[in-house]
Amino acid sequence: MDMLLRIENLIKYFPIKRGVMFQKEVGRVHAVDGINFHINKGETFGLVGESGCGKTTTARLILRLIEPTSGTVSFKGENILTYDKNKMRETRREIQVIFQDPFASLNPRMTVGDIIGEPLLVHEVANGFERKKRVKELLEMVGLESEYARHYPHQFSGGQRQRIGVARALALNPKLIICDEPVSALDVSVQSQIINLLAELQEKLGLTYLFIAHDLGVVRHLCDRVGVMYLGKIVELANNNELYNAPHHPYTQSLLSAVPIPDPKKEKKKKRIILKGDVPSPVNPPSGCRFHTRCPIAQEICSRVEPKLREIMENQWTACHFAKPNPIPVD
Amino acid sequence: MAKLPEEFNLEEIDQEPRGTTLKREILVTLRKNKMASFGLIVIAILVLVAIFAPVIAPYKNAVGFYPEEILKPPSVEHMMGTDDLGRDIFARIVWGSRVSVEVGILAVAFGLIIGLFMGALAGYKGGMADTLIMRTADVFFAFPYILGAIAVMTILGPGLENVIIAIGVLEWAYIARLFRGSVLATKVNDYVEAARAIGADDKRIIMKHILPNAITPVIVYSAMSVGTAIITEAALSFLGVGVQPPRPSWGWMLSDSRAFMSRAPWMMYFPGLAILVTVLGFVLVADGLRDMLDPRLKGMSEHVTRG
Repeated sequence: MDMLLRIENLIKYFPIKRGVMFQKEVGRVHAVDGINFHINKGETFGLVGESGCGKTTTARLILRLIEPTSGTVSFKGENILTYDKNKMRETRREIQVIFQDPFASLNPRMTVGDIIGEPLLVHEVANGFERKKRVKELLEMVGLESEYARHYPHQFSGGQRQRIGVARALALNPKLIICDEPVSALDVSVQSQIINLLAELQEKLGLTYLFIAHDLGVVRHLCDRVGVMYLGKIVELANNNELYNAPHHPYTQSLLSAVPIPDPKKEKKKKRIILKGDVPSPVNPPSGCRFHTRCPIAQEICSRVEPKLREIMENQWTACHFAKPNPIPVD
Repeated sequence: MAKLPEEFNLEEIDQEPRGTTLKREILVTLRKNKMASFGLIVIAILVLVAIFAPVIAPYKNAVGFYPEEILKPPSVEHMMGTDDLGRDIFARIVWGSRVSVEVGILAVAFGLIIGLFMGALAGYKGGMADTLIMRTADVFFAFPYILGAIAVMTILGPGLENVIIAIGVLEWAYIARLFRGSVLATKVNDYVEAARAIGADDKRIIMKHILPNAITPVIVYSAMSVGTAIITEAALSFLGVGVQPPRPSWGWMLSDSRAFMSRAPWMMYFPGLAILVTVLGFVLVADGLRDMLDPRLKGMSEHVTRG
């Protein structure tokens, strides 16, 4: 399969500065700390993890909304981080984004038609009547009525707004769409509608998704491969089925145990693995394996040696010294 | 098909959108608020008087020297009386409104041009530009307002244009500080990030996404500072460094009345009243605008209706 996007050793540290006029760095937030993954053409890659683990930072790095500390982001085989302003502008046509909060991602002072038509205007692909036609087309594509173009965002519900966000992302016929938790701000009933819409559009337009979520249940429905992040690192990366059936990393296993099963009998029987403590501060991440402070099966070695992400089985990569199927014993 | 929101009724879809464009919002705001409507009427009258001054009162009555008309109290002939040179006070008030309107609007416009640009630059770019602009603004805050105006007037010399420049030069710092804060709060919104992601350049992001969403407090402040600018002009003229005679200015008229306070109090009453009513008009409009446009107050009322 063709590789569309490849991330190598991507690192982003946010400096913490003190002082009014002469600022000095007093620390660093290790938001994204050396992650590697790739996305194949036409697939959906899921990126999951707790809030604060660096998922959204990764998305913003790929979009070049912020510059990484180091690493490469290759799109169609070329490192986009070396692109100049004009080249990057051209590339933006092919990488688009859907945001988490549909109430914040639409400019309240613009009509829906202007919002969806803005990418077309910025890239000068369609003007006047043609743009109006394209906006109509896009609105219908995401299941909204074309008359809505004259209305303002505040006149719509969350689900409708998210559809508008999807239409905007589609306007330039992108290859890759980064979905940054596109459903976590929506009602459950609306969530499935948006997910089905995304799946439908992928089939119709041959899109590739990077789907960011903190909910493994949502990811399971949509993704081909999944990467699990913890404190700025990928701890497990596998095909969807393998990951759900046999998680090899204790963190993945505990995340999966938190996914509710829609059958009350089974749900009652299920043992949840509850992690102790909070996520450690990304300013001073733990030594060795970052998960060792909360890991139920941690040994002495875990606090000393950082486990590498290694291929445990075909297409299943895990960063754990004690990787095996369902490593935490559940009785 | 997505669910329609509760407040969404079909009739509304057929109507023109009840827009959130700034212009529409301001007009609706002013119509709803009675005090603001009153202020708006006062401003409208003031502007009309300034424009149609030649029709309302002949200029020759407002200037010159009329020995037989000196210090006449209000009468049918001179509805506001005459001053120490026999000039008709009503005519001088009418012609003086031109100075007030010009100074009020042009000085604030001047301050807005510099202030908005500097505020946007400081807020949007941050870093060194921010530090440099805001520390410069701090220098301007260090002077008491009227003292600063006098200082600038001393450098520039008297005259209407210089009054406008002096007030504008002081005003920019206040506008820049206000707008910078507003820009800082607006630029972190997802829709700004979204615009960047589609490849919009800085100019477009500032003009289309940040400005319309950040300008509200500046509009309120500007309406208020038109009133302040009028008072400042009056004060400068009162002190003798503002508009030069014989051009009628309300500040000068007050200044002239000092010597005749007990003999001819009307010389003091009418220009004082004109300043009071005009400034009140602008303040009421500003107040109304703030009540309706303040995003925090707005958020509160929405919260209440949503229960």
